[in-house]
Amino acid sequence: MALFTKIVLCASGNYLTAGVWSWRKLRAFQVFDHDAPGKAEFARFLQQFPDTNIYLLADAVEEDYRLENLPHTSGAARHALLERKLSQTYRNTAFRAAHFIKHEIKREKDKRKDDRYVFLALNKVEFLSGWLAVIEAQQALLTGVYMLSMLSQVIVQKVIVRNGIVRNMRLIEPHIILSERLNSGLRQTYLHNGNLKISRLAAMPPEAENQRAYFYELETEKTSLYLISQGFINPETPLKMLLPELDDSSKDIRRQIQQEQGIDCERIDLAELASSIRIQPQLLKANPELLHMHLLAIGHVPDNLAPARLVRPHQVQRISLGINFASALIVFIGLMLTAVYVKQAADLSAETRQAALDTELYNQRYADVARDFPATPMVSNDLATAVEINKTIKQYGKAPRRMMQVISHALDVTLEIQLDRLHWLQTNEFDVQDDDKILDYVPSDKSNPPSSFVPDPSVLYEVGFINGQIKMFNGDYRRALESVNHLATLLRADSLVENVEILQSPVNVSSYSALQGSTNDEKSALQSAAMFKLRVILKPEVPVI
Amino acid sequence: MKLTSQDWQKLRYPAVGLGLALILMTLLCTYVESIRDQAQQTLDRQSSQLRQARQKFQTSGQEKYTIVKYLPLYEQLIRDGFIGEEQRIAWIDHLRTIHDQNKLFKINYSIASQEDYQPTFALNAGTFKLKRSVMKLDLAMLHEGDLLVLIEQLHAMEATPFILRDCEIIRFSRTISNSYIPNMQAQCELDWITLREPEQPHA
Repeated sequence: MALFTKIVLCASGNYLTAGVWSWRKLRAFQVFDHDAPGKAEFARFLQQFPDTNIYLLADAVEEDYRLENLPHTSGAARHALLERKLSQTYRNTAFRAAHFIKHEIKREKDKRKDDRYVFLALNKVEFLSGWLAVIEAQQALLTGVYMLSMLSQVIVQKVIVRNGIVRNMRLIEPHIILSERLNSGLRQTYLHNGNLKISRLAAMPPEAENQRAYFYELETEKTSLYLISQGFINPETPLKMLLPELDDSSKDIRRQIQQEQGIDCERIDLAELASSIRIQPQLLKANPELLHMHLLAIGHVPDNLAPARLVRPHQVQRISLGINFASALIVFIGLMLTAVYVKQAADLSAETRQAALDTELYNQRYADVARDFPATPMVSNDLATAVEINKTIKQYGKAPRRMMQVISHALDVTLEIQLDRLHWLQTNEFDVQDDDKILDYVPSDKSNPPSSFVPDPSVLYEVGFINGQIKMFNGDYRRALESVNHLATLLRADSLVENVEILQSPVNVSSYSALQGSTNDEKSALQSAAMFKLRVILKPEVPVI
Repeated sequence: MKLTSQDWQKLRYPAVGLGLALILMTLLCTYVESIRDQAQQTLDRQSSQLRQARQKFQTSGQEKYTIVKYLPLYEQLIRDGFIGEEQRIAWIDHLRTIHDQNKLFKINYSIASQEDYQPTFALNAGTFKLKRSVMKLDLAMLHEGDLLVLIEQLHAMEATPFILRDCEIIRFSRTISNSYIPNMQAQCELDWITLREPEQPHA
């Protein structure tokens, strides 16, 4: 599957090594010469792996490294700053990158915080152009172009130290030169505190094979002088040189460098290193760059030097993959939700079926029991309800006997009062108006004592409006008032009475109403009647339901 | 990275796929969820029926007791005319009988057409429909006791129940001690209340 397959290429001056990795294992590799047939063969090779991500390692002499201190920034500002600085530094170089060095600069409290970067670039890319043209022609998915030296840093930083390949090397060993014998030549990479500072590739002429120790010593001297000239070290700085070797053939080289250059040398067991990262050591004998390619393939992807134009197909492919992944995720979540709902619906249906069976069972049991019931036109509760309604209504089916009795008892004592009219109601509306024609209703504020009566709206009360007058009235309003008040007092004293209100007195003496008459009233033969009106409310006889 | 039209061309099918996946999964989930909700509603209904069936069975003893106790009373209410159609002729006969037996002055009556009734007092009517006919009585009286006799004897007939709602008694201004001339006039309104049986569910 292309999704889990990677192609890692390593281009040097004369050839290109292409390896195919899947599931973090090297499956195959092939070397292509830097000529037309080689490129044609490479094109055919790529056709076998469509839609596969391609990582290109550059291993060239024409590499440039510069250390830069920049103000601390982040996000888009950092990106813009680096782009501008790279453009200034490498005006004519498209293949360039800025590698951030972690914890390189310790910030002082009162000073600006700076970040340190190594700027990397390929000054000449003719050795890459041909291969890139093939990749572009195939519309293959180039993820990036990377410096091989960045993987050399990984070897020291992550592989050797972490896996304990060099057991006596401490993490704090500050100055290390990693000398690697590659097919392209001798690559010496200087690392300070584990961070790449510079790397240089020295092409190894065939005649140097017989004088390897001398060649190594010569190149090491050049490297040391360069480091001193660049100020990375001074002549007294203790250096450590690491030499990855499959066998112990570099003993002479180590001895000579130690003697001539005074540099402590140590061999890295390349076979052990290869085994620890699961690549066959014997493959490294003929193609040492496979180690770097393998590191890249298993996830140690360094900073990309390629311009955006070259990696655009890969980025579009990544977006496409992201969209497809989102689609798959949506489908997965949708199907999971669907499964959950279907399961719930099935469970509910099963419960419903069981409930239906239970209902049927209870209905059957009830039918068995109900066979002995007397035949009834309706359900038992309705029978009881009808009887209760009848009872309730009968409770209100009363004559005005109580009201008459209450009034009679009061009138037995107040013989000077004559009753003209009684309007009796059963109601729970207490704002009802009496519409008698005998007396014009005049609101009165007279001597009605404050009442604590709070009517219950769910009960019908017996209410009586009583119209009466003073018998043989001779114009003595004071006495007439006393008589009516006495009558009201007697009514209030009755245990059956809830409330009594004088609606109209024989005379209204309130300052808020008009009063008229004649001083001859008492002497006059034709005297006006002293009429009054009361409202009496009896206590409910029916218990509150 | 700004996408070019060529890039969009490459992303066209994945984008369409994403849209389709979103729409189809939304539709599918909505549909299945509605099926689940329907199943839940069906279960709720069935559970309610089960509770009713269980309760009905558990209270069957009480039900039998209620039927035995109330069925004769209910049948009596039907015979009395409280349930079903009003027995207006019987009521008028009662009124005439009371009038004759007590030698009352003339009683004028009117019965309005029946209407639905909403009582203003507390009454649990259950599933029954309450009906009311407003009756008006107008009678001259020698004495206020005549009204009590009339009303109380109407109740005593054990006919359909009524509520005497409003009664106005006016004394004539002249007072003559003659038993053949009325001294007062009464005007009363009664609510004649009957029940209509609820419609029984078809078996």
